[in-house]
Amino acid sequence: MSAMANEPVIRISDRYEILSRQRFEACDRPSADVFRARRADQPQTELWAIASGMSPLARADILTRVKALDQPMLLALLDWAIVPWGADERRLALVFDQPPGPQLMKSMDEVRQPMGEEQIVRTLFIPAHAALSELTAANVFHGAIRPTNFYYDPSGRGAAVLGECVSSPPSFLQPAVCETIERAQAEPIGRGPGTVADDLYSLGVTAAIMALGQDPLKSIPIEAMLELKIERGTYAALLGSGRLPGGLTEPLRGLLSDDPRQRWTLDDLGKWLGGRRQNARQVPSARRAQRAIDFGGTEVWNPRSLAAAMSRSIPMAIRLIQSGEIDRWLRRSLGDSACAVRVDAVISMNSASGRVGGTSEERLVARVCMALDPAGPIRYRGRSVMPMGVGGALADAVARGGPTQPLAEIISSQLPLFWYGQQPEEPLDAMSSLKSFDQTRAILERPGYGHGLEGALYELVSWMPCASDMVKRQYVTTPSALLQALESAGGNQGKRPETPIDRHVAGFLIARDRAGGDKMFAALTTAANDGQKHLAMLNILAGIQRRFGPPSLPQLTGWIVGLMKPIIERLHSRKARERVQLAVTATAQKGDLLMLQQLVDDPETIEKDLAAFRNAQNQYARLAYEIGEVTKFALDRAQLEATVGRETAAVVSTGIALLLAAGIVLMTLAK
Amino acid sequence: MAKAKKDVKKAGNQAKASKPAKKGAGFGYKILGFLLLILGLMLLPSSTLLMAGMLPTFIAFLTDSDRRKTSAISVGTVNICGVIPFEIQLWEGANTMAQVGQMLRHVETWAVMYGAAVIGSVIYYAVPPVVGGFIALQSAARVAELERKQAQLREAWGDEVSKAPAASGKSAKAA
Repeated sequence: MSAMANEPVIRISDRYEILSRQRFEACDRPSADVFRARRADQPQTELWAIASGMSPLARADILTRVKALDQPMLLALLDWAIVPWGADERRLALVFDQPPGPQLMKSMDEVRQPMGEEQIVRTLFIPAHAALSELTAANVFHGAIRPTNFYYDPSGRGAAVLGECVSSPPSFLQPAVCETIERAQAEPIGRGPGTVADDLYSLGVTAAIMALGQDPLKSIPIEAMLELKIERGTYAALLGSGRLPGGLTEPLRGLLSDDPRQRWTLDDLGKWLGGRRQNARQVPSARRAQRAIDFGGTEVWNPRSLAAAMSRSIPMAIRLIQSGEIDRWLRRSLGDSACAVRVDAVISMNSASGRVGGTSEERLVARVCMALDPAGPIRYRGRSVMPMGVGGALADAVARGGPTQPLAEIISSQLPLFWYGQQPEEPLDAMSSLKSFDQTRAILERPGYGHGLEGALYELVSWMPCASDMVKRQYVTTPSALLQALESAGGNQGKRPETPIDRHVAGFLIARDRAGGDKMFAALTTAANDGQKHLAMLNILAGIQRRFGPPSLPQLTGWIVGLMKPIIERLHSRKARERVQLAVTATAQKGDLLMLQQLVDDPETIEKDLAAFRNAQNQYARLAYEIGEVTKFALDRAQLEATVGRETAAVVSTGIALLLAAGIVLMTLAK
Repeated sequence: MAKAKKDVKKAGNQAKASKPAKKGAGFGYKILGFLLLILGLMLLPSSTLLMAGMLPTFIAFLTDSDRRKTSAISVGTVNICGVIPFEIQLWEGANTMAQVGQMLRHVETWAVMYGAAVIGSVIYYAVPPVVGGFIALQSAARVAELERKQAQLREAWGDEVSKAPAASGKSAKAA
């Protein structure tokens, strides 16, 4: 107890304390640091917390909704906050309730006692149905339903509690076996949010694994596992060789259907749990061609597998497309004329556009792959992402400093639009997603501060913290927090960059501060020189401080004051410059950006200074003219003597003569 | 300094203006010359003495290339002061040609009349260099004063103030 009393604790809302040196192994995961936590007024450390950074990015967009859920079958998110973590870092801390026991399986490789039908219903189906009903009502996709994310008290007979789903991107931690075929084909970071149908599929896989006591596909590589699922269907692939309690056949056939339209819904599961038995649906396996198509020496039997294979070798895929073999194979061997028409349309459209070279071949292959496997992910230049996972993948690439160009090209090439166009039934989110992608593409293609890749990122991922190198360790999610983070960065004079606004900061502010408007950033982009650029930065930051605070930012103000030299030097008058410089230095101590802005960019001062300067210029010019005239006059000495000198001599002579004449007259009169 | 400059210009302008007036004034001069000749013949002793005493002035008038005849004026005004005492003496005496002859026989008479002319010449040659030097000094002081004002403007506004308003880059920026 005494040791714990001295331990550093991080408080959240004065209600919870995280013990930042005590790892909580029971809930440990590779993607985040997990720590013990407790209620502030209690010594027991039964709670646990996750401290999340930029990668992988927690699902901050659903935190409010998840916290508001009141469902005992779902591990409760008690609170969250962005908290100081260590000397110079801030993290998103998520505090969760105490789990009722250990996970159903410690790892996906574990082999355990198989569960019976009654136990699976009581332990898994009933609580999961309740939890998913609540999540669906709150419009939350769980995306983390797997044997290692159910917590269960082995000594009791209670239900398992479904674990958290907010600390990492949707389906990021999911083993491929627990994901539908199409989502498993996408890379984990690019799976994106799914639907309740995807959650029900994961529930079905979890139930099947628990019924078998192990994952039957754990020993085979992911590609082979997916191939097996595609060839035989998930149900047969998972349970083909295992013994299954008879009563589970019906729900598992329903939940493991590879066609989302045929898959059991929550309603179907609820009815089954209520005792209403239904005829087990026949799960159709994927259509298999009469003969395989040869792709680089490998025999491929169905379009889904062909799409996956083609995306792995672009040159071979291009040769296959150009040979026309795909069309013949689809029509003659597979008998899927609809698919052949889709593929043909893609190839014809590409030929009509006449585009060659660059990334046109990659784009063509990506489109052909989507035509072959409409439900599958977008496969482009080595990336494999679902349309709604593009944002998450981009966020992760930026946070890790990885390549972002392929993801940017997916957006700019309108591949998500094409993907939605290939779907046999329009997804519910199609309209909003397409609108979002359209806006993002427009931002991506616009040059300048706040646009381009950075602007697109913050537009697409509304919960993305600012990824600027200056503040990325501060988990900045609001404009006000950004100013505070820049204030901290400003204090580090040795390491801070020249200016406080880079492309990430600009993109973040445009997306998060709609009231700020684009005009300020347009001024930043079109600034003709450093002075104007720095002034635009001051205007942007002053506007944010005015609207969001904090009222005093001395380090940031001092940082910007250092950039104001060219602005102050716009004033012509040396005295005015000195006066403004003194005032600016005083303002830096107050930390008021708005006051600084008014000092250095006061139109009245600038106007008066300019008028006075013009006057001084004219005065200087007049003086210069007069100097020239006087010098010219004085230099011609001979002329001067011949004119003024002789005239003066005549005047002097006349004066003397007049004096003499007057003297003579007086003397004569005196006689 | 500025006044002196204006005088130079004025003198030049007057010189130019006298050219066209010369023809019109020619007849008037002839009438005046004729009347003076009559007067000279009527007052022959006085005019004889005056002609003899003012000879240096006539020479100066004839040799002076300056249209303003500053040399003749300088010599003549002082020269006449040397002649006037003898004219008064003549008028107080017999006022005859004999008296004129007697006066002209004395060296002192010539010395006074021509000495006065010499003084006029000295003034004519001595004053211009003095005046030139004075004006040069005055101009240098004026230039120094103007340059000091320019330096004050540069101090207050920077070197940009010396550029023509249109060529001032900073002004263009501010505008």
